[in-house]
Amino acid sequence: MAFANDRPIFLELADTIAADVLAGLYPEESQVPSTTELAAHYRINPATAGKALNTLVDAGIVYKKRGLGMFVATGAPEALRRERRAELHTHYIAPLLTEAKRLGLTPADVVDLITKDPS
Amino acid sequence: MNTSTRSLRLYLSNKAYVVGVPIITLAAMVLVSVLIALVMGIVVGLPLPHDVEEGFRNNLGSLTALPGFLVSMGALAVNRNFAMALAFGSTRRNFWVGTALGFGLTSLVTAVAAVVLLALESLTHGWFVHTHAFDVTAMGNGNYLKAFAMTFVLSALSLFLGALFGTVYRAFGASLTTVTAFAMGIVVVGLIAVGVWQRVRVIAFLADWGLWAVVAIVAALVAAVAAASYSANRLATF
Amino acid sequence: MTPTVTETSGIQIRQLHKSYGSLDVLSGLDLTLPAGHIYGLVGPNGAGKTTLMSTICNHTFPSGGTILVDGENPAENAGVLERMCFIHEDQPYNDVFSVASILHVMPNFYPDWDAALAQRLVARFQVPVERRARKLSRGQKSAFAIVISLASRAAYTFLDEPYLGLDPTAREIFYEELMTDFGAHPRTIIMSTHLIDEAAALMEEVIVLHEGEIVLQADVDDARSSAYVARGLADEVRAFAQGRDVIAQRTLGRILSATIRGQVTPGDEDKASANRISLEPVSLQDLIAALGIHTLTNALTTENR
Repeated sequence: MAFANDRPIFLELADTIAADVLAGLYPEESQVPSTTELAAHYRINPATAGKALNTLVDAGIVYKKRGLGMFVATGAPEALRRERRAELHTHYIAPLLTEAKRLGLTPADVVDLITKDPS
Repeated sequence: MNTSTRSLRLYLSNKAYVVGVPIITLAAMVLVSVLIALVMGIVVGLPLPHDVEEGFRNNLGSLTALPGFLVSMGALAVNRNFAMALAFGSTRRNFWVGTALGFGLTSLVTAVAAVVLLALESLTHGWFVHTHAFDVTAMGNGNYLKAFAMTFVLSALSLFLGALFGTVYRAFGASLTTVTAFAMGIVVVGLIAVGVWQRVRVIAFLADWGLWAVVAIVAALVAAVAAASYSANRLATF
Repeated sequence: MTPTVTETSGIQIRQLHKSYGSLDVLSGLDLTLPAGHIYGLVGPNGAGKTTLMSTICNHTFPSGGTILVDGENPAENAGVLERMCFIHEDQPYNDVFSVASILHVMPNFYPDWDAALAQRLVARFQVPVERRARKLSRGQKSAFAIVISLASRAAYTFLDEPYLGLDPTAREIFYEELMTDFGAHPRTIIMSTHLIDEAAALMEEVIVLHEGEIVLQADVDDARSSAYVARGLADEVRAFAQGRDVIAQRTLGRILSATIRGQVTPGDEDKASANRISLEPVSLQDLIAALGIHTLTNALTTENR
């Protein structure tokens, strides 16, 4: 798998798993793949996979059941939703406005584009 | 498990080589002797008359056919098996010991095969055409013990000589191997020259001590060559 | 599992020298590799990768320096050597041995040999078991070497450009099997490779060898974030690059791309956007390629002085 160059792989992987949790692919209390399974599937070394899972543990998205594996924490999807709502401005709105400015559009123009969006 | 037996097993897993080659070589000797007899028989009739048959006693086929194959077998056994043994974590010493034991086994098998063929030769009165491949002076004129001993030491010498060339090649490269072979050739020619020059004394010596003296000399050579190949092996690289 | 460098585990190399005649292949190399990790060994041909691995495994003898594996000198040390497996890229096999007969002999060399794994891998890579090992194609030989290396479970496994002759599908199989086995049975793996971007995610640490010396040894993520590319109009980029460690430059018409060693600060980002310079990440492969050229250029410059 081609991971982006600018961020460490374990962060990219943590994001991918978090996105899957948010989309409901991993329901609450369901098991997520082990480090070895992740390593084999993405062709990354198990240490990196382990780091990704630990990142999610630290963020409270997954937790470890001793002897069984990693499971999605109850309330994780909701927590992710809250977190991403808070970051919506930083990750999407600010870049959108910067790009718009670069193209010579005002914020009003941008709002116009949004309200007229068919989807 | 004793780690030298790993290399022995590596050597032995080459079953065709360990058992097949020596036996086929000996069988080929028989075939050659029979063919020569058949050709001669065109002139003197078959089975061969007594005086022609006696001439066959000087047949050196058994002495020269074996080394040819076994020297190259020894060289190959060392050359490629060594690379594998190193790749799989063997020490040079253990590889040498295991291979040397393998050589011992091959020599044993060859010697036993020679004795069996010698018995068959007697039973068939010279393979039905009164030829001699094993019942020859060089092999003790039908003495089973002498034939066994002579075949054993000759096989061992050939294998270790091949091994020596193989390890010298691995340790010092192609040019030095050629130099070694050349030097050995000169030594052999020199010894033969001395032997011919002093032939009266040599024949008298052999008459007194017989084939056992030759066996003992060859055995000593085996020890010398084996020691040399061990030293060269210690210096050999992948 | 945190890395441990104890006196009794891992590989420790001090001042390793190796010369072939008058040619110095390794010149005073220092390297410490804690056990239980995957290391990528990269560098141009002739940099000394194979020589380094050969010396550690006692396939050839060092000209100087010390090597310790698990705290002991591996030279003629049966206990240490039997925990190693290093099949060379051009490994010669006896004329007569078939793949099957070699696999049959392997349990004698490796007490932890996994015959079932070997069988499965041989089938997955489609290695013809009855064929003589010498008669295998380049790709089949690589696959065979991978099979043995993985099934051996050797504590120190060395892989020398293991992908040679393998098509992309086979390479994917290799990477998958390598990660699966390494995950289930941790060991130390040292792999030399030219396909850096492909292997970047597999390695934990990358060691860059150039002309017998270690030019870079770092965690892969750290290495990747140790440089960036500044791209824009030539004059602007040159101005931006003043005083920075530029290790490579490429020009496309009026656009100059400069690979700069260092970390991007917020101040840098502002300065760049003010001058229509884009700051981009650099792939591990590009970084290592740039380092190679950089070191070579430096050497040439010092010679010309």
